[in-house]
Amino acid sequence: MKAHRKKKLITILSSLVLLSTAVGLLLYAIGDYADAFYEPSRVVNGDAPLNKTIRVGGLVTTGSVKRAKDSLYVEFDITDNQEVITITFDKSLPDLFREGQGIMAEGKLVDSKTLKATKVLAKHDEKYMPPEIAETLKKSHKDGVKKMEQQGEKQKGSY
Amino acid sequence: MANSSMSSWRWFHQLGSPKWFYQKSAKWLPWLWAITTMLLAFGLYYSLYASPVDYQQGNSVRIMYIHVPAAALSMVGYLSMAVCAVIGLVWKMKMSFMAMRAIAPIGALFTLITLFTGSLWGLPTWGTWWEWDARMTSELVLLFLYLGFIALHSSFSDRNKADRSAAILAIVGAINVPIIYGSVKWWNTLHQAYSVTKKGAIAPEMQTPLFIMIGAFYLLFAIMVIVRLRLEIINREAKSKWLQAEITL
Amino acid sequence: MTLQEFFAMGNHGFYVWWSYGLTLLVIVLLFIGFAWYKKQLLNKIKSFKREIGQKARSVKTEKISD
Repeated sequence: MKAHRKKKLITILSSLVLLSTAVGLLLYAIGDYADAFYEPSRVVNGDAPLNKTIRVGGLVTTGSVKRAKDSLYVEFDITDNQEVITITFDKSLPDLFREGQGIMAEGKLVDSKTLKATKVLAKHDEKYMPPEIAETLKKSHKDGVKKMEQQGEKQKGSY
Repeated sequence: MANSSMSSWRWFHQLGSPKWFYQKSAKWLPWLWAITTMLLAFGLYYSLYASPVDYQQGNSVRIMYIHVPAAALSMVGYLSMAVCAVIGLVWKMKMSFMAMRAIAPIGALFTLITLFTGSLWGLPTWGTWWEWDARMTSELVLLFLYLGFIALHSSFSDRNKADRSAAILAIVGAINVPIIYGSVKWWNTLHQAYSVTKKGAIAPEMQTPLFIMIGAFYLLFAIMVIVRLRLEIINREAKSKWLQAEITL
Repeated sequence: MTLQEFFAMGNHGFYVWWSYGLTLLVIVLLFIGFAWYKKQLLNKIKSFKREIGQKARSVKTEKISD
């Protein structure tokens, strides 16, 4: 084979490899990534395999976060509003981790209700604002709820 | 050169002339640099100092002011490359192919910036520097497309063949851009949904620096493309008399 | 805000400054790359011009010697 032909062939082959790697990555992301995802209720039902790395997503239940005093170890519950499972984790949690926040834990199931996580990811909700505004929003929300409750009581009283 | 009776198309014909562009762009560049430097100075002052921290993310929200503009340009860059490819193939305009070749490394650069700022932002906020979710994977594919384009183009010794083959890759690969854009809507991704122009999603005191930085990055992109395109013109017109007269050695 | 606080960025200094710093670095590297490429191209044109000059001269001397 002539030198320039060989060079051309190598080029075409390598660009094909590059392109198919790219497409492969994309398919992998869309397919496999979603496959290993389970909601807490499916875990409790026994749909998720033990001893295999899986991902579980849900909201951190309020008041469930227990931190160890002298290490990073932490335990908390997550829920999909149907079932609750416990996550244990011994590395530092992401900034967005807090009660009520949507999180995703990756790791292996210890039993049908406990996951030993190797990774805990927090999902962001596409809202960006300074803390003072967040505080005001929270307060006005609370006030609004209170007002509605009061109105509700008034209505009840009038009946 | 341009047909004076078709004055509405004159700019198109002028842009199609390497000589015209080479001479004019030398006059544009100082102005572009001046405006860009000013915008960047403003943008950096706001994004690093004069804007508030986020109620959940704290100071790491400041990464947004370079991550979002870079991400926007990584996609805009690829689309403009594909548009140049179409114009070059259909109208056989050589300047269009030169522009296409000039955009590729710059688009790759902005894609790279998008990826590493995303990692540096994701590590503290999400808890991971990389996840194989659809948004991040498709952005990585974009980087491969840019690099593949450059590799394919430089592998031909015949420039016409190089232009045409690379143009086809640019056009076919453009399908990835709407995939990147829509990925956060279509699939369950770790990456949050689109919020740049969504009402109420970003507080106004954060939107101002973001828009300034987007503007500055667009101008920076324009400067980079013009500088690279001038080099491409030198490369391809090396044997023409006007260029040799233009360059004092 | 003190200068120290500004650089610390809460506890996010590492992430923020690396993001901005690396971005600056790759942009500077791009322009250095452009300058290097320009030098190469000008060298190419230089040697190209020299070749033409030599050819022209050799044609002249041939004519004189005839």
